[in-house]
Amino acid sequence: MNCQKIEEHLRENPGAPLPRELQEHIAQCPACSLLWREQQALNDILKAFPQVELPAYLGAKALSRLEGRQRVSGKKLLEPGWLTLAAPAMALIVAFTALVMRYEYSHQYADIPNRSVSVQNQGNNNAAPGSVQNKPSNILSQIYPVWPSDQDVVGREDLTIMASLYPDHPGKVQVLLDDIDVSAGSTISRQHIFYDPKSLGAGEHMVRVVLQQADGSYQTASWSFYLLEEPS
Amino acid sequence: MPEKQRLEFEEVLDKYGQKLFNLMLRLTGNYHWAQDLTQDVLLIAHREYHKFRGDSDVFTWIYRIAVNHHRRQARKMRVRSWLGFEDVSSEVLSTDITAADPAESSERTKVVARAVSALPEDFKETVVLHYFQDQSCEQIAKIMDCSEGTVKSRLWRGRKILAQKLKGYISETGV
Ligand SMILES: [Zn+2]
Repeated sequence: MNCQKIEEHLRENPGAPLPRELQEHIAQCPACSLLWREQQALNDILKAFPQVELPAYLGAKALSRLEGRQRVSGKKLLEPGWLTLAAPAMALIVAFTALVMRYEYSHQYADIPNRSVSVQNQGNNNAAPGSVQNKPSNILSQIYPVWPSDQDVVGREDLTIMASLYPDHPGKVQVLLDDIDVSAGSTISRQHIFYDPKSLGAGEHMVRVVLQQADGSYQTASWSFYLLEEPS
Repeated sequence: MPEKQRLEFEEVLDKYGQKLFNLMLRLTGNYHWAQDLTQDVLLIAHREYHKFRGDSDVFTWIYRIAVNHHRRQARKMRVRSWLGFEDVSSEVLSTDITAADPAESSERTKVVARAVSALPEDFKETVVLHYFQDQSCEQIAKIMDCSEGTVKSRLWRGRKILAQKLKGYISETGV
């Protein structure tokens, strides 16, 4: 009974001292005593972890650079240029990413409350991404934004728009960027959508993909991203 | 940005710049990546600052931007890594001296940093905010937009994992 109280105390009041009754308990309960001392030691180890200095270029002078919306980098971990791969390779990537995303969407967004992701799958298909339906003929395609992801911040070198359709969508697809129909300039297949914006200003942008389903219903997914102004 | 806001924002940078960088460093476990992400967060905060009108305190606001930005980037990184574009592990374990995290000056801090950065994302966020950034569970709940109970349970699970992983150092303290 008291053993439970120790764990409860540790969980509910991290870092707090032990009330007298529980002190009395650990004095005679080796298991709780160990748990308590272990957590105390962990607490000390974590609290003693050193802080690191802010690199100088991010400090005092950052504001004037921010005002120019410039992003400088010591060394970029994400090297640009990977998007220039050949189209067939890209198709494979998107197909694979779609599978990954199916998992990610159901998994990750479930945990973030009040998020404004609007990957609405309208129409008469109520299945969540990743769920299984029994009659293949009734499965309607879902739209999976691949790149940029919702509310992403991207540099110009990373700018392309990709979405994946799963299962295959044989019908009509419309791609809109900031409410302008860019379908004609997009590469659209039964599984993928690519669009490379040629001239897009820095700032917030919205992508919307509309699928017309075989049953005449529409499905829409919309997501937004922010394009950074890079130093010229 | 009007002069008054500019001064305010400068103060925000002064006050939270280093904390933000340390937050990103412990979340990513990578010195370079943390610099890039800190910079992104400052850019976003600068762009959005005029919209911030004190419905929460500025600290909660900027930390929320930071945590969300890290989540998105970590997810992107995982995808790229799965696709074979980035070998994240080799970058993280790079022997390049400029990539070294200055906090990892001893074997112990190195092991602690790695153990923390290997935690599942939401446990890691809570552990980092609580232990390395001195945030109360109530504050963390505001930053992460969840209940205090959720924070406590994530923190507890994170602590249990860490107690296992850092057993060696814990027993050194005489436990
Ligand atoms: Zn006990």
